[in-house]
Amino acid sequence: MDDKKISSSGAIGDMEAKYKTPTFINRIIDTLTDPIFVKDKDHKFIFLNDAFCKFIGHKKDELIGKFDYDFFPKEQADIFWKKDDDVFRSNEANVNEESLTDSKGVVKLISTTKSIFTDDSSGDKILVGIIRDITERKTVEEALKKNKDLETFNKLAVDRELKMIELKKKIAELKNQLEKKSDEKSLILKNEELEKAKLAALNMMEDLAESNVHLKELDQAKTDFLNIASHELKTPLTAISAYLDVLDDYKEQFSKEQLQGLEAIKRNSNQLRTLIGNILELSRIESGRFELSKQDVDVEKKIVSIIDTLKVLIGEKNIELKADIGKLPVISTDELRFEEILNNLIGNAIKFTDHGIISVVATQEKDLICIKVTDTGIGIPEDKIKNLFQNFYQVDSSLGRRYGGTGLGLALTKKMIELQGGTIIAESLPGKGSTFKFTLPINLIKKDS
Amino acid sequence: MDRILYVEDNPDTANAVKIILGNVGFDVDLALTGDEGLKKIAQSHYDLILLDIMLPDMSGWDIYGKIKTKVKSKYAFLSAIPISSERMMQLHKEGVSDYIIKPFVKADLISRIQKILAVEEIYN
Repeated sequence: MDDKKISSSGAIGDMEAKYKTPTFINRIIDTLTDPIFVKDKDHKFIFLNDAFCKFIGHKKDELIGKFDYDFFPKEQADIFWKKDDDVFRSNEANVNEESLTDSKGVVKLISTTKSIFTDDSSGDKILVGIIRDITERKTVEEALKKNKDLETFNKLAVDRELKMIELKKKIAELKNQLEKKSDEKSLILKNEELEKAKLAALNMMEDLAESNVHLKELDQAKTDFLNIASHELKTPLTAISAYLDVLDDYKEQFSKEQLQGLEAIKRNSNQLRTLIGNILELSRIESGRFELSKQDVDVEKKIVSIIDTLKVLIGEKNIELKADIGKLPVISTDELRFEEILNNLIGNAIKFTDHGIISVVATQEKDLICIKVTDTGIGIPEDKIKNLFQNFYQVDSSLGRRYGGTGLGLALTKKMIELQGGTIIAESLPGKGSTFKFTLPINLIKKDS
Repeated sequence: MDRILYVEDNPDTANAVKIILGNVGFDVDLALTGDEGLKKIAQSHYDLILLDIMLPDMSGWDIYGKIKTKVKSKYAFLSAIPISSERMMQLHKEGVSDYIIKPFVKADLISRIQKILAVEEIYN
């Protein structure tokens, strides 16, 4: 190529003479690390830089005068052709992101910017393209997004609350304005304000709808967290409880103190296990990620078997535990939760009764099954009954230390009953005893024999 | 003596189960990763393969899927992740002997393992 010297006056002219030569300009373009390509109106490669050749994996003389179809699969080349056409026709630059396999076989995400100019001598349109490798930027963006998701969840929830409050304020303002009496002139002004407020309200509703969708997506992240947390917590618990079982076999060789230690560890690890189970179950229920299953349950058999299992908790206390079960149909209910409800109520009765009688009465009332657990225990003061079913509520925290328990059992029990369409109430006389009554729908499937 | 392979990544749980089942007469081998488990299965015969679900390199399901048609043995899972009763029935149909939930009760674990190994099976 001939060195063409562009003449201009003075110092600038000297610089242009030195640096505006085709050779120098070509060096600049070949030094750029972004692949650059130039096509003519027939989509033929007429100019390429070194980075492009490296990207495609061919030498410059193998590429000049060729087409996309010579180096890319047909479908890919078709897409490039169409995108080129868009630029040729519109005369406007466009940017495209696409994935491409480079010469080493690695899949990359690239951003190609194509722009156009008209050659002065021929009048033909010339397409200039530059490729940016954005693979890393995309992976970083995605990783950042994942990290931000849980943070965003809370932020969005707060934002949503604030927007609701704002919306309510605006509506109240509007209402206020409408109620005020006014003359015609101020009516026109009020109209404008109303229109503005309406627009603002509509915008806010749009935002709310958007954040709603986002919140649903992020709620899934919360569920995944719960599942992972659940498993993580159970892993060390399993090891602890398994080794406690192992130590059990050596009990005869233990000193009195060592035995006490073993029993203490067992007691506390069971408490931990129950607590973790309850917290996770409650979280699931409260976030709506709770599925009920349906099984056929023989109520009498179930109550009798649970009473049998729990009898051991009576220990040396002078308590009579009895069941009074009428003629009952087989009910359709969530079996596991039904067991948990009974375990909780009967277990509590045993826990808080020193001597006397605990009775479990089960009857059918139309389409409901009614179960009553009555004890002659320490009872519950009237002012404490209304808070009984709250999370972590304990009538007297010293009871928690003395009787064990975390205050979650009743909250969970109530939720499990209500999720199935049942109800639960508690009645009590301090010093005399308590009665817990709950109902569950029968959803009869089988006929009573 | 019946031989059991227990694939579990928590070494404490693995050792405790080895002792518990060893004390009632089973010969228990351990594998702390899925890979190690597959290697041991390839090297010797086990009457029962007991699998944890969440392993560092693969899931218990993966291992089961890989070997169930190739290796003659009984299979059971031991996992903290609960499954529905429908899924349990499906597993039984496929030939899985049991799915035990962690944390387990010693007496329960022992009786279930004994029950699995007491069943005579006609191998195809």
